Formats: sequence, C-alpha cells, structure tokens
Amino acid sequence: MPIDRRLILSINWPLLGLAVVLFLLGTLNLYSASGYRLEDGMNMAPYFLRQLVWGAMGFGGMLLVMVFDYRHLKTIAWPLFWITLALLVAVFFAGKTIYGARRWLDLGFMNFQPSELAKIAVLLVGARILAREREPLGFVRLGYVLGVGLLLAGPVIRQPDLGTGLSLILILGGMILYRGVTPPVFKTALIAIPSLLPLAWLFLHDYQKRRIMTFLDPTTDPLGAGYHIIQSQIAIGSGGFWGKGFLQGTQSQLRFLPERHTDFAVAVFCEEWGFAGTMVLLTLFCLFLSQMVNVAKDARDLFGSYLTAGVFFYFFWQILINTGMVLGLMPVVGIPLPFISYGGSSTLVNFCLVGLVLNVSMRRFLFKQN
Amino acid sequence: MAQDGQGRKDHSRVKIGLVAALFALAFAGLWVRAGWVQLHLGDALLTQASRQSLAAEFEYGERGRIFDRNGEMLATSVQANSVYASPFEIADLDAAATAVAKALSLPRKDIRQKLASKKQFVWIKRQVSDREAAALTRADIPGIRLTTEYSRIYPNGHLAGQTLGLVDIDGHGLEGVERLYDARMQPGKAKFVVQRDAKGSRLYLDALGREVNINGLDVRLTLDTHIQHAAEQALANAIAQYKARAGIVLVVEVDSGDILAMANQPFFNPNAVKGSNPGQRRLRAVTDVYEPGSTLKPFLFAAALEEGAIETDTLINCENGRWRVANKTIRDTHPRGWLPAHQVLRYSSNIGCAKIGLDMGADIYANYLTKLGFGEKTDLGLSGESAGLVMPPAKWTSVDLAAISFGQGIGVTAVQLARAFLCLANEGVTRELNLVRTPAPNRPNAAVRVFSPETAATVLKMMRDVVHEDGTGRTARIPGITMAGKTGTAQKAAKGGYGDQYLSSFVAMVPADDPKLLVITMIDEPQTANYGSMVAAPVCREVTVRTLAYYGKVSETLESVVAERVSVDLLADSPLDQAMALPTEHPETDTVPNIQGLSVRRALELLARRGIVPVLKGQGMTVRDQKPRAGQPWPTEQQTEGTDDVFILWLS
Repeated sequence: MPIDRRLILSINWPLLGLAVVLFLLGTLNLYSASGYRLEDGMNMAPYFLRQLVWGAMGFGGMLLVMVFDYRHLKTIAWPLFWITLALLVAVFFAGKTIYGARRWLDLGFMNFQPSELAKIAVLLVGARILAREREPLGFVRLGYVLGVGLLLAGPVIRQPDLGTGLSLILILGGMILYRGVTPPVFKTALIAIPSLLPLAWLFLHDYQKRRIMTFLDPTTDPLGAGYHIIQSQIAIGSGGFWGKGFLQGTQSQLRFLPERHTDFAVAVFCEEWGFAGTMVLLTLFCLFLSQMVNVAKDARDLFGSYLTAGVFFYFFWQILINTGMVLGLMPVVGIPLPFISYGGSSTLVNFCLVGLVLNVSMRRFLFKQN
Repeated sequence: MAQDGQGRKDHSRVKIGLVAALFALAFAGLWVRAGWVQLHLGDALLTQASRQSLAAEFEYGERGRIFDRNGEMLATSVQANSVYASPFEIADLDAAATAVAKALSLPRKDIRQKLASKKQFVWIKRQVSDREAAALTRADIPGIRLTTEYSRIYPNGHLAGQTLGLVDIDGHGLEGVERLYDARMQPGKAKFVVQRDAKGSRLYLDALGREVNINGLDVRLTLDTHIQHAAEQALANAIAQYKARAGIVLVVEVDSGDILAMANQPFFNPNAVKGSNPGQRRLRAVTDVYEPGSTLKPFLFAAALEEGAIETDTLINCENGRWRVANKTIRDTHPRGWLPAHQVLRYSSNIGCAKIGLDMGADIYANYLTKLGFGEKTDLGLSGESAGLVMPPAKWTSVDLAAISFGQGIGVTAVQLARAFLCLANEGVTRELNLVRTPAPNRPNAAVRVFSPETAATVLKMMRDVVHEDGTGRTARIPGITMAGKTGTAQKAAKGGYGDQYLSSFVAMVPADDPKLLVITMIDEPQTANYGSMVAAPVCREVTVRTLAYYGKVSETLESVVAERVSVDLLADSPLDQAMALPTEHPETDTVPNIQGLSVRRALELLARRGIVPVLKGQGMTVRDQKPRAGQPWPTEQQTEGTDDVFILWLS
C-alpha cells in the first residue's frame, strides 16, 4: 500500500512523542521497582527488560495499525463484536482459572485474555453505532447502545473481573457522553445513576465489598485488605517534595509496597521523584490526553471522532482510577496505569490504540479536500 | 447545510466542553490529592516509613579471653544459641507450648506459663545445644526465636578452675580472675541502624559501626598450663592416696614473684558450675586460713639471727621432748637434748623454737611477722581472700608466743606463706606475688628489706640441711639438685583444743643457695599418714621435678639444673610416671571418639577430660573435622607435651 507523504506529515507527532516518553519513563521506573535489596546488594527482577520487549512489539503493532485506513474498521466492527462474545462465552465454559478468577483461554503457548479484546470491540462497535446516530440519544437509542455494551461487559464481570467490566461500561459511557444525549435522558441519568449505585452493592462479591469497606477505613485491617492502601500512602508520602532519588525508594525496595511493578508502580515513581515528579508525570498524561481531544475534534468523520473519543476514555478512566487508587482516592481495583505498570498485553494494546488515534489524525485532511 | 454545520459546531463545542470539564475536574482532584499526601502528610508518612524500615539493633562483643603465660587459652567465649519468645505474637498458646517443650525437652507447664506472660520478650532457655536449636528451627513456631549469645568455656576443664573462677549466664564474672578483671573483659556494645524489609530480613546499612572492635580485653595470667597440670596431678594423687580433705600446691618463680601454678583440691570445673559445691569452687590458696606449724619456723630463725638473739651454733636445750611453759606442756616428736640452733630447725624442735621465741620477745617477733606480710592480704586482689589471723602482740601470753614460734596459734593463707618465703629467697627483700601479666598489676607497696642477705643465706643453708642432712625433709630430696625445704605438721584446732587432724605442709626452694623456684604444698587432714615429711614432701618433690624438667628443655634461668636434667629424669622416672598417669576415674575408650558434629563446647570438655587441649582452626560453633580421626589411638603424653598440634579441630 503506497503511503502518501502528506500522511506522514500529518501525523500528530506530539501524541506519538508523549506516548514514547511515557513508556520510557515507565520502563525506567520498572527498573527501580523490580529491584529489591538483599543483604548483599540489589537484586533485579527482569521485568523492565520484558517490558522493553513488549514495548518494541507494541511499537510495531502501532505502526501496523497506522498503515491502513481506519474507515475499514467500520466493516470489521460487528464481526469482531460477535467473535469476542463467542470467546467470552468460551471462557465461561472452558477458561483457565487463576487465583479464583476464570479469565484466560489457554492457547498452549500463552494465556489469552478475551476481555482485552472486548475493550477494542466496545470501541469499534460503539463508534460504529454512535457515528450513525443523527440526533442526541433518546431513551430508546441509549438503551440499544448500552445493551450492546452490556452484552460484552456482563460475561466479563461474571468472570469475575469487575475492573475490566466496569471499564468497558465507562468507555462506552464516555463515548455516549461525547456523542450527547437528549436533555430528558441527561436529567434522568443525573438522578438515576447515583440512586441506583447502592443497589450495585447487592451484586458485589464479598472481597469486593471488603475492598470498599477498607477503602473507607483502611485501619480496620492494616495487615490485610488495608495493607495496600496504607503502604501506598506511606510510599508516596515519604517521597516528600523532591523524592528519595532513583533506586532509593526504601518502601518499594524493601518490599513493603505490594504490587509495586504492576498496579502500584506509580507509587514507586512518586516515592523516588517526590511531588515534583508526580506533577511532571500527571502533566505528561494531561498533555497526552488533550492531544487526543484535539484529534477527536479535528477528525475527518464522526466514526473517527468517536473512535478517538473512545480511546481517550479508555486511557482517561485507567489513569484516573489507577492514580486515584494509588493516591487513596478510590478503592483498590485491579486496573493498571498505561505505560507505567508492567504488563505485556496491555502495553501492546496501549500502543495499538495510540496507533489508532494517530491513524485518525493523519487522515484528517485526505478526503476533506476531495 | 451551513446552518446545520453551525449547529453541529455548537453542539460539538458543548460536547468538548463537557469532556474538558470532566477531564479538568479529575486531574485537579489528582493534583490536589498528590499535594496533600506528599506535602502535607509527607513528614508524618516519612516517619512512619522509617519506623517500618529502620530499626536500631545492638551487637554485643565477645568477653575477653584468659590466657596462661605462654598464650595457652584458659577461658574463651563461643557463640551459643538461646531461645526467646515474643508472647504477643503467639496465637495458639497450647500448640506453641507443646512444640517448644518437645524441641527443648522442658516441662510443658513451665513453658506455657512463660508464653502466657504479657511481656514483649521472655527467655525460654539460654544457651541450648545445637541439636535443640536445629529442632526448634525445624518446628518453626511463630513468636519463638533463636538469638546468638556468647557462652563461656574453659577448654582445659578443671585446670586452674578456682583461679579462673566463673561467670553467670549474662557474662558477669562472679569469682576468681573472671571477677577480678570483669570490667576489663566485659565486651562493648555497638548500636547499628538496621534496615528491615517487609519479610523481616535485616540489611545492615552501617558497615562503619561494625568495624569497631567491641570485644572485651584479654587477660594473661602468670600461670603456666604445664606446671599447673603437673601440680594438679601430683596433688590429686596425694589426696587420693592419703584420703585427705583438701590440698593446695603453689609454684612461684622467685625472680619475678610470678605464680606459675596454683592448684586447689577438690577440683572445680568451671564448665560445669551446676554440679559443683562451694567447697569445690573455693580458691583455697587465698581463702583458707591454716595454722602453718613448722613451716613458719624459718622466719623465727631469720628474725632471731637478724636480731642477734641466736647464732647458728648457739646451743639450745630441747629438754628431751617435754617442756612446760606456764601451764602448758610442749612436746617434740623426736626428743633431743642440747642442740645447736641450726639443728633445732633441722629436727624441727618445738621446744627449741619456743625458747628462741620467748628469748626474743613478742614485739620483735610480731614485728617481723608483720613485715613479712602475715595478717595482711596480698596484692592479688582475688575475691574472698583472707588476711589470716595474727593476734596483736600486746595480747600474746607466753604460751601464745611459744606456740606462734613453732607455727601454732597463728592463721595464714598459702599465698601469705608463699610471699614470706619469697622474701627469704629474695635475699631478705620483700616481693609481691603476681598472678596476672597483662594488664600489669599495680604495686602499691614498695619492696622492703626485712632480713640482711647474710641472714637470708644462713636460713636457706639451714633449710638446705633439712633436706640434705638427716632432717625432716629427706623425702623431698632430688639427686643432683640442692633444695632448701621445711616440713610442717600442724595439729588442727578443733572444738576445745587441738584434735587428731593435721595439716601436712612442705616448702621447697631450689636451688638451695640461690632459689629460682618456690613450691609450697599443703595437704589438709590426711587420714593414712600425718607428717609433712611423709605426705606433703613427696608432692613437693614431684612438682619440683616436673617443673625443672619442663624448664630444663626451654629455659635458661635454671641453667645449673639443665646440666643435671638427665639424672633427674632418670632417677625420677618410676614415681613420676605413676604420678603423671591419667586419673583412672574416667574410664574411656582407648581410641579417639568421633567428635565431628559436636558443639565446640562439648568437644573441648570431652578432650579436656583426657587432658588434651586441642588446637582450634577456623571459626564456628561446631566441629567439622578432627585430627586424629575417630578410631585412632589417643595421642600419648609424650606427644602432647610441648607440641601444639597433636589434636586439631576444624570448626564451621
């Protein structure tokens, strides 16, 4: 496929640059987070090396995603939706159980998590449906869109994987918000959502209820469920303004901080680089997200715009929930921080989605002029 | 279309605004929260982090060791495991108590009681065996931990046991040298900042502090392990042979005043304090006060000669063995008539001595006794030392004076007697006894001349005759060696007078004309024979021969002896071999047992029982290897003598 020179020129370079910078910062932080001190010096777990490998693969995937015209995705949106649904059902019956959750399909050479695919399916189907809506969504259309979303989110929540399930709904919700709803729908939602939320409590697993309880008061169980919250606060807070310095984070290196290379990786960053580092990181994420808003605004067509909005919300919710959790603003949910937390498939997906946004941005002029 | 576009633009601006607002709100929230946690709560959380990850820890050094004059180790410390509990960490009290009781073979009830206490820290058992420690580690009971402490061991078993003394379980010296130099040997304490990780492992940050030497300082005694060993064996044999109650042997180097051996029977093994009684722990040479009897007579003669009260050939009537002073009758064992003064000492006539004493007067005689140090503690400083018993001369009756003249009615310790004879041997100038080489003891008393050199030489000459002429000390004679000696057979005071128990003693100085070596032997209440000449003199002889033989190989100080060493050894062979035979009360296998895997402490005790002091190589608490190997014959006495590496233990 010949690539127009103008396409290259129209790439949103700041977005690409920010993604790479964030990834490199994350890898550097992983280097520190994977080290722990023993009597005879530091011991390094090889997480950062693997993260680099996954990052390189993600970068390749990103380029691959940029090559074809995103409008072709319209055609595969629904097939992808059905395939994903089938896989989720397959997981329900034949999935592999790890730590009491049935989330994985054993492909022999690796464990595949269909819920990751569900995120992309929600994005594509959501953008596909919303792009066709001529008017802000009324009750009926809203019900239809949410219904489609729940078809995917439902099985995921049943796995149980509340974090991913909720993020599917949140991504779709963000996209709906971006598309707009009719004033009556908006008003109803404003009243209904907060009042229905307590009902959700009835459907929660015990461990999930416990997490919320300990979030409200971590000291009830300082060595159990509250341990994560308390240790994360201690790590971040002890960083102070300037931080303890690279590789000097005692709370992480002495293994007080749990999940320090995955969900709580950013706490290591905050401990070692202090409030100054935290501000820089948040600013980088801010710029990263605002670039996506620009792309969504300038997209050539509605599909591209809603697609970008979906990716925006995909990142936005993860950043908000993960940092909120680490900073003690939210209960502990297993949601990683993009580019900062260790995770092979999530790194791959993150880069591919950035590629998708870049795809939209580089083709914003092409057909307008025709 | 344009209007539609306009509407769409408005709408999209609202959409963007809505998203931007959500976006801004969320990020503002994160920023504020980060600031709150890191800036406002920062200091408090940093303190909390430090409390979690930093701990102060103390490390204790090793108590100073005790060596003999040649650097032979007499007391050292080895690491031992001790078990303690943190009761508040124990969830299941009964299960923990049962497991601990099983591992340490202690009564379960006691342990449960300890674990039930509300304290942070409770000792369960101090200084457990390696096997018990291993069992406990395997059991892995929460809240029960091991810590290393130093425990004191005495590699030579009972050798010089009372002199070395003992320490309590916390390493405080209670008796003997351990007590005397407790402050010097006390180890220091170093404080470290330790980093702890979440699993509780400790990481030392502060390598600097650990380089400081916090071990206590060593003490080096004047004792010589070989001579001490010889003295103890000779003493043990005599005690066994004569069924005596107790005994003392002192060997002193005249030129320096150094005590080379200080043997006290019954023996005390400081490794086994628990099974011992106070009678065994007593350092009799300094604590026990005896009426010396005839061994005090040389000082009477020296005083009388110095005062001109007698000449060596002044004739004295010994009254054929019976003489009344006031209302008391004095008897001699061997009745004599008129004797020249020097023969009065040779035949040890009590009547002759009483007459000399009465002639000289209480004040003059008492003055000499005081100058010689009787009635006053020595400078050794050991705990429990007695000052002896000397009545003020103003209260002496003529009977008292007569009795004190032949060594009754006065109480002295063995070290006081040694100090007094040291004065005679040192040409009449006082000299203090030494037990410790390092640190150098302070000497508050200046040396004082008590007798003229001529007087001292004259008395030594008289004492030479005691051994070499037909005196009471003939049994101590060593062919080829000149010895100045004096026997003593003191009746021991019992209720209401003197009973039928005796203290047999003998003092020997060699060579007679210029003494280098002083040996004192006291045998308390021998049952099968009484006289000093029979009981104490042979012990003195054996010890002297052994000491001379030992020095003859290595020392130049006894050169005159070296030339005659061969004859000494030849002549001394048969009795010496008997004397030096291993004590038979420890029937053991004829071959070396397997020591590997034993704790150092056990191994050393086991070998000490065979009189073997192994060379320790490497560091650790258990024996990894041994030479000779198990099953090989024990090294013979000849092999252990002099060489260092007859028995080697490698530690790990």
